Amino acid sequence: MSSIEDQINEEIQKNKILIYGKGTKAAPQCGFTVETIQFFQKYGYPFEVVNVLDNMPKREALNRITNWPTLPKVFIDGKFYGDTDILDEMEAKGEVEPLLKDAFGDK
Amino acid sequence: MISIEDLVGLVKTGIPDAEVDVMDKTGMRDHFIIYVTSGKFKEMDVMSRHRAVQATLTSAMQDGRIHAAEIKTAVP
Repeated sequence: MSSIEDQINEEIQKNKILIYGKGTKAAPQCGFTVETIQFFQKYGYPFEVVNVLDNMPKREALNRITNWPTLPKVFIDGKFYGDTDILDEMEAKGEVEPLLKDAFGDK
Repeated sequence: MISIEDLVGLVKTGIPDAEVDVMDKTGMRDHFIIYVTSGKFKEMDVMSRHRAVQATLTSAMQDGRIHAAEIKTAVP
């Protein structure tokens, strides 16, 4: 595996909630990245944003790994969950809360 | 740019029983909200539903006819 994929794997293992997006947590540069940040702020669990806006090799590696063409890309507990399109629908079905509780070991 | 008819056609080609509604977010015909309702979604989790819809749009995403697509899925 190339170093980029190693780097990605390390990042998604190290952060229980990880958002690959455009811009940073403090200065997001895309509406969808902002939406995703706001989505997780509601739950109060810690999350990280990795800015891949200008890092095409990493974006291509992420596209390959997830077979998903767009940003932002959300990983929870090392598993890929797409973006707020998916998370909103999962939330409506009550699937997000238990997922986060599980990831952070809250029982 | 892509017409709404072509966009609906793309989705239906991949998901024949789909009921598809499209909202053109900016009027420029390249940022869409696509609502897809299909009985086939019943036994699919949310991620699989979205992957199924994404798969029907790959060609139009790659050649730039679609810039951004927000997908909303539902069962009848």
